[in-house]
Amino acid sequence: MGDLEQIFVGQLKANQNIIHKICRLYTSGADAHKDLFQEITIQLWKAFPKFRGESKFSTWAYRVALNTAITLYRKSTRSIQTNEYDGTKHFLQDEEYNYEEEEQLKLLYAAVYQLNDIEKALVYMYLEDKDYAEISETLGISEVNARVKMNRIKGKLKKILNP
Amino acid sequence: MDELDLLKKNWDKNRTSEHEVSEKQIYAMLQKGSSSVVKWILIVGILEFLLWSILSIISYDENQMTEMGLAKYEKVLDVINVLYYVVLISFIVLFYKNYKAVTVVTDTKSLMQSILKVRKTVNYYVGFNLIFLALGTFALFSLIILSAPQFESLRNLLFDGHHNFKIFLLVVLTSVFVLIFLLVFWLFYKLIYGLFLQKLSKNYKELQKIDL
Repeated sequence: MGDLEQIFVGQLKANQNIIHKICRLYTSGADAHKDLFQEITIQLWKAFPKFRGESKFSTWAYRVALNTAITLYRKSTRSIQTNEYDGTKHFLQDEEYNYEEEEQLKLLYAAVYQLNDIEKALVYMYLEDKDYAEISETLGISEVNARVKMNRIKGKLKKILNP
Repeated sequence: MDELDLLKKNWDKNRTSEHEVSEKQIYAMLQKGSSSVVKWILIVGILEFLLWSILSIISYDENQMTEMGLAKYEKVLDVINVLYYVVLISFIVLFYKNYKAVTVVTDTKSLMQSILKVRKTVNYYVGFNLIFLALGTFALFSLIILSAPQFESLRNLLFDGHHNFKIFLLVVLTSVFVLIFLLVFWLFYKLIYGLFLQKLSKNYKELQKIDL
């Protein structure tokens, strides 16, 4: 068995939470989650020979994983952006503050799910406390653009959650 | 309050234990690339087999056989046909075995061996088909020219002892025709199976790098 394969599998297992977080933002449902996880694993494995250990495995892996998610969901999510979570909006209006935190989190994830592929990536990096320099580098946009986009996302989420 | 703050507060807490994967599962995921290629080789092999079978059933015409003067060779042709299908089915069984071997593999070394085996099987398969096609077309051509009543005058012309050059010309023309026919099929195989093999050898090279 290849040493590299063992190293890779070990690292991936230790850092799998990174990928699960991305899957959680990009998919709804356990099956889709699993599929995306597998796809990201394969892409990481393909790219692994190029990973020279200049950065931490986790830093390298999240970029590859994010790119995989973006390219995969570029084609498919746009069409289901609108109506999927309409029911939840009405609930929120009346009972917003009665919900348990867990329920609110679910709604938040549902709201984030309605964003597009790039916006999800921004949300992910924001939640991971990446600075705007890194965000702009990862997504290939300017820092200013990243900031503007992030503000727009916050506005969008507000609108989705408090229509 | 910022909508994302709540998410952020819970972000690192959310250990997704329900989705947690083991090392073994990760190994299994890594094999997927090769096994899906091999699966497609199997599927295309079966489809091709079905295509040829259906074509030969549809196009089989006893009257035409008699018209062409081939009726007396019917038994021989039947035997050849049966043998041909036996070989084809054997290849499909081999493809299936290859596919099974790739899906249950657990380490890179045996995966590499399986990939080499798949390549070999596909090459043999294509080689067999091309050779069979070449011999088959050539034999059929010769039989038709030798037996078909329609070619009576041609035969008289050819075999009156003074036309060795014409026979030579006929053989050359037949060969050229068979070659063109073969070339088309070769391209067809190259296109379909070549694509799969290319993907496989890419996987193989990656595995090789890792397995040094």
